[in-house]
Amino acid sequence: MRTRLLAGSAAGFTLALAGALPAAAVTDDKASLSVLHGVPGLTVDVYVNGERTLDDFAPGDLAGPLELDPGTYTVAITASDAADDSSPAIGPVDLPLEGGMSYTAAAHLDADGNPTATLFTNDIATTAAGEGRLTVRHVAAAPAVDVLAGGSAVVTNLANPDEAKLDLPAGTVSAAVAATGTTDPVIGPADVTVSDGVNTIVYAWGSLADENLALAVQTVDTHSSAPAGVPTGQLGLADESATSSAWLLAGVVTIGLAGAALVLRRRTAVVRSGSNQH
Amino acid sequence: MPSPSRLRLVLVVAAALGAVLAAGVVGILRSGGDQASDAATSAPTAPGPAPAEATASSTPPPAPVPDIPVRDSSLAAQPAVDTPAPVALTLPALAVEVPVDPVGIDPDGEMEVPPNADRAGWYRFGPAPGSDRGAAVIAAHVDSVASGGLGPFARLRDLNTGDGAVVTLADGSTATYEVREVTSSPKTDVTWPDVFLRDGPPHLVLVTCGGRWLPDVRHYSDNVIVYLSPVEP
Repeated sequence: MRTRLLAGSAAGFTLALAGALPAAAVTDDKASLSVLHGVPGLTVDVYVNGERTLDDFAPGDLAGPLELDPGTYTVAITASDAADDSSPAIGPVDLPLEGGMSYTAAAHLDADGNPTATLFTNDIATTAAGEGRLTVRHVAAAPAVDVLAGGSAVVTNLANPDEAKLDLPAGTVSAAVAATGTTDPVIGPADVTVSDGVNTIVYAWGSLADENLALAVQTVDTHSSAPAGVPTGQLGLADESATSSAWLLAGVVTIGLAGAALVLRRRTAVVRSGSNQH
Repeated sequence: MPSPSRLRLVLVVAAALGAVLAAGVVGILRSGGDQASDAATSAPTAPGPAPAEATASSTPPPAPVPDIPVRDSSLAAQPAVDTPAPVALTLPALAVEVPVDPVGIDPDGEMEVPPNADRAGWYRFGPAPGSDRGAAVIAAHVDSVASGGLGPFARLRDLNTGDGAVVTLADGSTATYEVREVTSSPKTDVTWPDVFLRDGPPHLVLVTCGGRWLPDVRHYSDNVIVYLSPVEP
């Protein structure tokens, strides 16, 4: 296997590696690019700006992320035994990449089963604390589909090569894919993890006619949110404006009183809110 | 005998010819296939991209570069992201040992805190203690109705720089830290995104309340925040 990146030569094409982690934070001055191979039965080489960048890239493989200088990159995909990119199986396609953005270039089948390539922009906008993002992409040779979560449709009529996305509380989603208007899964159900601050991208790829539909999964860090605060006190016993040990001792004694006061205050509040309605 | 300046010129020309020759050889080697390309990368060239002038001419030697990470994208091949959750925190200097529960977000968007001040909560959406980056955050009430008094975190402000902390994880392993800084700040001054860090050097953050009790709003004025750095046990 020669999965080597050849860089810096005639085309002036230079790459720097962001890191080997599957989900890496995107920096503002670089474009992050991953490449998904979603064409069944075809092992390929990937050329970027004329340089063979991925060798013997197999169906279902995900490469990257790469941190690239912003700019337009020309990608061509050839059979794995090609000497160069002069007769590509897919492309060449121009990928305009902006800094601070995350992209996935997918080689896949169109709805009719012909090889094609699509550049997706991965949504890394801020997710709320405790939430993650689920993105579903239809890159399979199949008609439009519905995406089912927990048995009910959360995305309807998704066609190749479109995507749908939604933010969800972090957790595990039981996801399935069915022909639009039906609930009988053609893929899944499968458990998909949605993590806080992560965009989990699920691809439906392969061919319905050839009965090799499958899911591919990619994770991209979003800009995550912190909790709005940490509320860690209820009684006032640790009040530093009266930090004498006498107060602390008294505080222990007055716990019962404090509790009673809380109850009283709540009752008062209830009475007040009740009286406001009159 | 050539003058020194003339000698220098000759050397420069010779070096340039040598460079062109080397580039040509490398070009031939590269067209020869993979082995040649390996040979080219092992040539004694400076790492990093070739200078712009060189790239304009014939085939320059490729810079040595790392492999692009490639992985199986199938659902079954997804890497397990779960690091073991913390189950207990020990602060020997304060003779404190407190059980730790995983917690999330409350309906107000604030960190959920165990109702009983005798238990602490670990923010499960962020890094876990012992992970290789970012802040693992553990918080507890300074006092609570449920416990009927002050909890062990009421003594966090008594910690000193260098005091130790041991977090026991669900798999029985431990992560060991020492106090780097004890702070107390008005809640309105705390920038929580700078506390709940996902990246950067790994560390532990302990949080409770302090300052003045504000009876009108029934919470404290300040947060006591203790930053701890990992140490070898």
